[in-house]
Amino acid sequence: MRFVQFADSHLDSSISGRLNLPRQKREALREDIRQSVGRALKLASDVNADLLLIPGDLFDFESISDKTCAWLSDAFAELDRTRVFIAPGNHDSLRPGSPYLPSYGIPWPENVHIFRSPEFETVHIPQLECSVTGIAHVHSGVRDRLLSGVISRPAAKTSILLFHGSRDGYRPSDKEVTLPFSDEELLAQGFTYAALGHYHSFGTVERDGAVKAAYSGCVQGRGLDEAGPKHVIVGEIRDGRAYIEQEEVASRRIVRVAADVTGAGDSKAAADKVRQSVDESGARECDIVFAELAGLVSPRASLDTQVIEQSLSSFHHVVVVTSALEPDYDLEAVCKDSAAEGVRAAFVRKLREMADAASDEDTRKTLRDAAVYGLMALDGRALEPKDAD
Amino acid sequence: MRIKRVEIPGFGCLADTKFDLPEDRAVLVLADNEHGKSTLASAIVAGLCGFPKRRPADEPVKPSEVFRPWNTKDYSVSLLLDAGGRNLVVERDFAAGRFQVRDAATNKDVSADFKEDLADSLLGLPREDFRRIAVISGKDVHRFESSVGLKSRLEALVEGTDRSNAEAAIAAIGDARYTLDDRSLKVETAQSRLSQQIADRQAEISRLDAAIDGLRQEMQEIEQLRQRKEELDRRIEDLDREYDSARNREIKEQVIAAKQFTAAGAAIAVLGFLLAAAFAAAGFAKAASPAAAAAGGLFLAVIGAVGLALALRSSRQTETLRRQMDTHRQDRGSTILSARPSWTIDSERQEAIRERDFVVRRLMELEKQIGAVLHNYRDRYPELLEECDRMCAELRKVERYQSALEAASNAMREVLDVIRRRWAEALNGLASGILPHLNPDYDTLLFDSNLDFTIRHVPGGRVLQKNEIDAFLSTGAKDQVYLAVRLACAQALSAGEPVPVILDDPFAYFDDERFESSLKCVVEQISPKQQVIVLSCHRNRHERLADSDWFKNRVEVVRL
Repeated sequence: MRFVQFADSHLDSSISGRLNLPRQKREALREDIRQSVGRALKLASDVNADLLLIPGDLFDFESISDKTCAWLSDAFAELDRTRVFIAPGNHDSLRPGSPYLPSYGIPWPENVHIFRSPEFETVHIPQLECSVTGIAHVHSGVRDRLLSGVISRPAAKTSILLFHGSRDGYRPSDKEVTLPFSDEELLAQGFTYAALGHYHSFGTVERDGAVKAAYSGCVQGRGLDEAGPKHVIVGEIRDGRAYIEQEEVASRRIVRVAADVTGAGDSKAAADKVRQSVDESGARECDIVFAELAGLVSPRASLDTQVIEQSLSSFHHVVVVTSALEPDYDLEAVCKDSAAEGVRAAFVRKLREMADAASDEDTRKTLRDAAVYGLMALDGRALEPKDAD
Repeated sequence: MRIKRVEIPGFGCLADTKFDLPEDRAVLVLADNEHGKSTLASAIVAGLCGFPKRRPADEPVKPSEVFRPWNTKDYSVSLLLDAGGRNLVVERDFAAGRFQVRDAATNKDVSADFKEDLADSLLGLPREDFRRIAVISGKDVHRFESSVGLKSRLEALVEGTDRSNAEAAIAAIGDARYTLDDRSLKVETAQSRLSQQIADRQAEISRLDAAIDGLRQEMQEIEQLRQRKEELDRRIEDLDREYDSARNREIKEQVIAAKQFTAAGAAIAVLGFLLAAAFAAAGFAKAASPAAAAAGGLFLAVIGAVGLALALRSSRQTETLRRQMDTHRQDRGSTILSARPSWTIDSERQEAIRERDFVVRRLMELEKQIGAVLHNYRDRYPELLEECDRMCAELRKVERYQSALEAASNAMREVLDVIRRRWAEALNGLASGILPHLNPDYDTLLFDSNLDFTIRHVPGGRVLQKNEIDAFLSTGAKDQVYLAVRLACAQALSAGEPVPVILDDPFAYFDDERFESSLKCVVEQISPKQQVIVLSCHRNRHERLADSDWFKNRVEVVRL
């Protein structure tokens, strides 16, 4: 039995963050997402997938348009022989006004099954000797550990679980906890395979070398935390075991580049170094490039990020930030031991001692910044805040 | 530590310069202006400390390039040092980047025992601090033409700051600004403004969410109403078919009745006409009363005509009923057999239609209401999210900036207090011991922990407070107080290995009397405790002192 899985496409979502995309490019990125979803559906058709599994966040409730819903409905209908299963997540939950609800009036085609219960329910597909069990988020912030108990279901040769949840121990720091579960809880359910959504990076849960569950990740990066290629899963279940492969459907990537511009005396010199780093990163002209300048530059050097961005104008979109740049203060030389230790040395030494004693990187970075600001103030230089990460 | 010999093959404008420095005397190096006097000071420092590995942040050229000789390839300095009773030969070839220290007694290379910055190794004073403490330039001493007060200069000395002293730096940090929405604000103000803007938007987001979540009941009602409408649609359809069936049945019955009526009418008509004809025939035949016979016949004929009319009418009615029956059959398709009267069914049907109209109206109302809420939600929510996202990123930047500034300010205040307290303790006593020898009119130079100081005017017996000193003291007297503190600093750091002091025309701006008293103080009070090297271009002034015993016995003159 063959299946295609994708999740977290967040169709029609708002785009913000440090990419600083102007309005037109935000709309272009939303269109990219639509096209990526379209290619995922085409892939399902091309591989004659029996099932298309969408474990949540297909769209963003707050911004989904009727036009996109109509497009989805038509696109699903064209799949014809592929059965589509959707388990609404925290962003496309079954809140009042959800397009998933019959009351909204979207005519979802017959090959689409949307789980609409906040409890696990199972759909049996006799022709495939398969069952699909799923659950819907009816609102955001589901924190119950719903996999801690047994999910009862009728017996089937192949059983698939579909839900949107937070895997313990792998949650990105900015991710909301929703329907949390542990690997043990998941594996104890005994499903042949679980299609997971919520985390935007690919990941698998394995047992004895066999893939038992997987996050496909998102289909298209929308922000700095979704850099790199994004994929859908093409899978096959044979002899009670799932075999999966990743397939990239996005045409545009977000590429994060660290460019060391140490010693660059002006914007042009910095631009040359950045260009080299970008070329080495493999970024394509259709990609969005986020270049983070790092290294030491003379406090007298004035680096104009717009000049650097302009030099990279062949790329679809470029952002250059200077948050990791440090003025070219020789801190080692400044804080040497001395019988006549002056303020500069004592100040830098004190902050270094505090940084060494700090328990987290954030505090250490703040103290490093403090050393730079203090030296700039002692040099009579105007103080400017550094970008925050 | 003492410098016993200086050899300079090439350094700046100096070439092939060498001289010895006797242990028991101060050394006076006389050179004309622009003949390398200050360069000699730099050469000694470079020989002792080397050059910094990296170009200082604000210097356009590396210091090692500043002194590269133009006219000779030799770029090197060699010193013979007495460090703690051990003679060391220090050789630096700046062109080749070579540094070597040899034990003068064994000629063994002992470079590995020392840092390249020998002042750091031998005196605990890295290069910049050695320059700050040990090299006293006349330009440093005489700066009271400027508006910078004496205290500020002493602070700059002990703090090691030049462009901006620590207090000014702390104030600058406290006054740091942040640009928000094109306005320059204090950092705390920007922080609180952003926090408020975020809170406002989050409150609006919560209201929008609540409005959506509050629609659950309405959505359930819509669900129920739609189901009810479907039921009513089906019910009305069934009633329509039942009604048709009943009407057809009733029409059939009416048709039958009409037919019967037609037949009766026709019979009456025929009978009437026949009777009329018979009566007329009988009346005319008997000729008893022809008028009565005619009237009777006419009457019967009228009855016949009425019968005929009724028959015709019934016939037309029957035709109409038949057409009605056909119409019902065409519109409704299959029928539902019903024995109920059509008016009963119609009554029920009208009621169902009324209920359906009500349901439809209610549905439209709810859909309009929900639609408005949804429209408002989807119109505003994404924008609010984007604004919140952007503002939270900005707030993180402000908060990190604020935290770093606070840390910088606190650390700087703390180290400044420690440094000032340390120097005040060290200088109290030492400076007072030197000052009267420089200027007998002043003594008792005392510092508090903030480096504020008082000084006693001996002739008047008055202790001058900090706010009086700059106004009361003459420029020359301020020069001397500053020099006393500079010399006291060098003494304070000479508790272990004595720090040599290099004075580059320190008395250039002193009048003759102060010049002599100051040089004498340096030679008699300072030189016995630590090496003193005086560089000067004022040959005549010094030559006038050549006959003074203290000068003859205590000063070695070297001419460049």
